[in-house]
Amino acid sequence: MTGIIWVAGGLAALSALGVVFSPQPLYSALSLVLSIGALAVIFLVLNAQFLFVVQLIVYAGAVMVLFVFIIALLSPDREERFRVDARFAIGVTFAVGVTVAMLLAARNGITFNGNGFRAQQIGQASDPYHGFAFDQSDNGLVNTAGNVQSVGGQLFTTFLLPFEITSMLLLVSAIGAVYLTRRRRDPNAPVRRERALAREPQLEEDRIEVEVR
Amino acid sequence: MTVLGVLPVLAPPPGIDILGLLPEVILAGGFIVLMMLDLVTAPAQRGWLAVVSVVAVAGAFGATVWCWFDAATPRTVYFGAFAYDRFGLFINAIILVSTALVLMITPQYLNRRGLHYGEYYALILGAATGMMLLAGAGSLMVIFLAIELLSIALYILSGFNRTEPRSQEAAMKYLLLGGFASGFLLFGMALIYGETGHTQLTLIAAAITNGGGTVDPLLMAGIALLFVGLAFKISAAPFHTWTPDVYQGAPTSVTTFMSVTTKVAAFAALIRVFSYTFGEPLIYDRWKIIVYFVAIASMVVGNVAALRQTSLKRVLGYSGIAQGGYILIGVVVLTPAATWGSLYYLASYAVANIGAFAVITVMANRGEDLDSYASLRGLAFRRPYVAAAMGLFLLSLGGFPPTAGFFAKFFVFAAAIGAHELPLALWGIGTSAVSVFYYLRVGLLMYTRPQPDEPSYNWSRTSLSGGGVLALTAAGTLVMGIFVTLVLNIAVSAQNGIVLHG
Repeated sequence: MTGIIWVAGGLAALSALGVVFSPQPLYSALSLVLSIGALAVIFLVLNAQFLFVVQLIVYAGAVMVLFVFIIALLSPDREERFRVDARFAIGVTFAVGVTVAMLLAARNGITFNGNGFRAQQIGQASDPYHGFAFDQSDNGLVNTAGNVQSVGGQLFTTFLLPFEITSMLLLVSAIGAVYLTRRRRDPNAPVRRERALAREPQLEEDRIEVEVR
Repeated sequence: MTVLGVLPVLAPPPGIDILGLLPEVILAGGFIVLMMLDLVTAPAQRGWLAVVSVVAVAGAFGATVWCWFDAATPRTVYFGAFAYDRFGLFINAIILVSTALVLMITPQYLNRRGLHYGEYYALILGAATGMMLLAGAGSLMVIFLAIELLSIALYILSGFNRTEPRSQEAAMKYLLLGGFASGFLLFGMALIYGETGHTQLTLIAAAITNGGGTVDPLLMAGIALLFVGLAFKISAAPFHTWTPDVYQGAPTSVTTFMSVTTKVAAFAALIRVFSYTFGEPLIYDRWKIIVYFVAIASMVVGNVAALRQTSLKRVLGYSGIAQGGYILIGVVVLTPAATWGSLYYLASYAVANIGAFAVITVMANRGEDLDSYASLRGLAFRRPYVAAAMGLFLLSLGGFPPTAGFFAKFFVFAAAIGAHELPLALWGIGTSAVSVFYYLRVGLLMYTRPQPDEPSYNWSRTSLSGGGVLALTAAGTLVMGIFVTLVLNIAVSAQNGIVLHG
């Protein structure tokens, strides 16, 4: 198990570098897919099957398709060549600093023993609130019931109301998106046509006019 | 599977209690019905959609009143996610009355702007549902989702006038800054969850009490970030920069709605989370410092900046920031008197502010809003009743007796003095004195006779519904200022009824 984590972790780190350094936007996007996939493997090894599936479906599936689609749609001609200058140095220093700080901060949270990685209660040394602790042993509640069952159970008890509110939130967002982007064909509310045409040169009528001329 | 095995599915499992959400469910139902009615309503008949939405709001208000008597013993429903108590219901009532008043002045204004679409009413009801959920939110998740629900509806409503660059600018600004604020809010919630292991407020309070003795820096960081997120919604001072621009750019009927209801709902969440969940003395001593300075900053920035404005909407925007500062005094001070003082303040602010913005909305003509100082000049000679009502609202916002605003300020400042926070009360009284300048300037302009050759603004005629809204808000301002105990008793009982444990 530990070997898999090392391999997948290394792959994730390498492909993350590929996202930043590759000259072609499409390669960057594909590196991101690889990085996400490698992270998903780590989730699976850590017994978080639900996160594994969600990671693959939502990020590697839906979000990445959008990325690639938009890249293909905009078809950028060329990426600006990569240059090592002061801004680059500042960026690298900042990124390395944040990474090191995260590792130091997480040393309480994640332990590594001979058998594998274990997440433990964060900040256990200084934390006065011992009201909760995840039972993370292989026989613990989460792992015996299965991740998906646990998430489902929580979703339909403790988080039932938030779950329902989310549906309303999506409905409102959808209505708003339709309202803001729809073209008006409403006799009662005249959109000033001249202005609308001047502002949107891609309109059908415009194009025809240009071709006729 | 036997029949008996299926039966338990039919009975609702414990913890699911639709009764506790009755007003919200009615309003959400109205939202969906309106979307369907919009499909079959002819464009010229869209005024009926306003009628339907007012009926939905009235239904929710009736349910709220019924629940008020039912919720004599408060409880949480949906596994601690929602508080069914008189505190939330009091806020619900303010939100619903404000929504109904806004809906009454809406159709006429939208027609003048050529914006009369059915989505408007649905979005208003959606936003109001989010606000009511926020008022009763008993868990961090519900707080976040309710804030998103109301915010997204308001982003769209701010940009409702799609051909007007100012409206677009308002929507964009509100969306971007609101997104940042949501980030702060969510990060704060994550830290609080990480420290206490719960999302339900009652369980968080219990975890903090059990863990007493030490203060974890991560918990304090979470509380501070949560405050930033909520302070953005009440437009308190360092987080207020969006307010004047959005108030000015959004359609005025939307400004009327959001300037009042958002603030009322966010304050309800703020009081519930900070005064009643993080009230543990050790924690309180630390967050008090932040809220203390934000309150003073809001009072100073709001009042001083309002002095230099030349647009009526911006003046009212900055005045709203200052009013938020006064209400924050009621959050800083932990005594029950401070809480019911804030509740009374919220009610009085809602009535006066809706009235003041309703004057702008009702008087707006086809060209531009009644926004500049020049357009106010001489209003009293052409529309004497409207000008008198506007004067009354300004007096109430400035805190003069015998209006609602005087007693609201009095209760909050008295609570601060009673809790030995004299400096806060002095800052409040001092900045209120400053505010008199700009409120009176607007008032005096209305009563200044214009020069004979000066072109005057072409004020609209007050319609039945517009005049009705002005009459109702004026009456409310006076009633709350004269028969004080009428609303005060309800506010006190709302404070008493707040749910504290499970």
